[in-house]
Amino acid sequence: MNTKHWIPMLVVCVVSAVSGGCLKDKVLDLVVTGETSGDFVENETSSAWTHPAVVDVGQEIRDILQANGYEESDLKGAHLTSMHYGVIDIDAGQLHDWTITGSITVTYNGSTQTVLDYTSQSVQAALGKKIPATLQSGGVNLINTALKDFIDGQNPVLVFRIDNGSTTPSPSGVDPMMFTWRAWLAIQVIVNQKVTVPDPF
Amino acid sequence: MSPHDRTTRTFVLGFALSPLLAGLALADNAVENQISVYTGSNAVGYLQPLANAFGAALNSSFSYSAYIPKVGFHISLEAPVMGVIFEDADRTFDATTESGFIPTTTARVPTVVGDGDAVTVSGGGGASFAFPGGLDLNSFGLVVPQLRVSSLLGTEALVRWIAFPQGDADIGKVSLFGIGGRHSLSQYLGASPLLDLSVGAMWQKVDVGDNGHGGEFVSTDAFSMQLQASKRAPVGFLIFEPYAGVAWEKFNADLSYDDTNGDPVTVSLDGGNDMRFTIGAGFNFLIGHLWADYNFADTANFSFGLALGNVGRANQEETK
Repeated sequence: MNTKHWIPMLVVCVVSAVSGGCLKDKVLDLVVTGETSGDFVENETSSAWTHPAVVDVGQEIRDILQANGYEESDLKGAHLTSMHYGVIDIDAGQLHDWTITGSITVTYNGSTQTVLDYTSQSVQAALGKKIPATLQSGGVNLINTALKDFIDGQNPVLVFRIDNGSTTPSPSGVDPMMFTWRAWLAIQVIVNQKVTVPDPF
Repeated sequence: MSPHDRTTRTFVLGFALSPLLAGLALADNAVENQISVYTGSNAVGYLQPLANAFGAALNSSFSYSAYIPKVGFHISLEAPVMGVIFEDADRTFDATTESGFIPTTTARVPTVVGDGDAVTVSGGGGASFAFPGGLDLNSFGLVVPQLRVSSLLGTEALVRWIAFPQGDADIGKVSLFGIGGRHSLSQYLGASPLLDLSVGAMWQKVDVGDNGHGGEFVSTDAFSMQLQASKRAPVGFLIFEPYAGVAWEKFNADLSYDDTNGDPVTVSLDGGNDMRFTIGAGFNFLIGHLWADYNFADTANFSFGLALGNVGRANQEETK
């Protein structure tokens, strides 16, 4: 074979081998972190009070998946990663700060557990902040149970509730406590993804 | 060879080259998904092995011979294949939990080239943080078409270029442009120098993907300066040409992406290599050159390739 024939063949063989033949399918775990929140609007005239906020966990996970281009069938796992809380609005008529102590509970399938405690928290100091919370295992386990139920095909709905134990100074009809605060949940979902990547050698 | 044959060969070469750069874009889509959970130092640690490999590969195969004809028109279309085999140390890094996870925890987790399984750590109250898996890569490869033209006073120019246009949904945007030049030193060492010597420099820019805000997902710059020596030895109708070189190089990569909360993240990485030492050998034949070399550096790599054209070494008279 003279050079006019074998050189083009060599070009095609060598370059095709390292290009077309190098793409390989891999299955890997992608992790997506999504955040959802519940708002609690307070207009209190007593020291102890309770307010609920409902979180449709199933819809939240669907939103996370959809926002990142994944299907529910890709879902491999989901878990609670962290929670934050903070004050997003204080009524303009508030003349002084409040110090509050209490907990946030979560209710699912008839069970209620504490998910975090807040102690001597200044309302003004929490304005505009996302304060990381130390989580309680009972509440975390309940939330993770709901996430697992979603993976198993259910549509769990969580009810978060603020159970405020004490407020200083104590609110009253002439000095009501008015602010809005928010609890954020960071949820990670793990999806199985098949990707095609070059891995030539 | 007829003009038609030359055109056909060029198309065959270009077509054959396309899948690897398409693969590069596919890989970057996967990387963009994986990296979105990371910010700051975690993103750097996750991507560093790929940046090292990309930089090492880009700065390879600049030249395979120190011989540069003093005069005459010489042109070659070349297909260098540049590869890096990842080491075990490239597969993991120490990452720190993000997203307000308590307590802050450091764990050994996969880099972008590491194992595909996520690593999950437990924290306060049983909360968990998952670090994403890698792409489970054994190697990194790059094929880039380059055109070499000489000679003006023993000087040659080299251009690398390839681009996939924006708007191809499957491939995404990939563009590479590089330009360099080399100059013969041995032309000043008499009519028959013991070795051929040359110096050269090359700059390259590669942009990959789209960050969703009008910019690139990855934008890189590579620069290399090189001193090379080679020796031509006739073997039958071929010329055998071993070569060696030393080079200083630099590589920067800027990544721009949105994290999983949709917040923009910008990360800058440097390639791991500063200096490299190259040894290699090639065969020159009538209308081309085949070569292979190995590069000793922090991120070692190899390259091989084929040049088609009148690279100017086949004529024994010309080599004297």
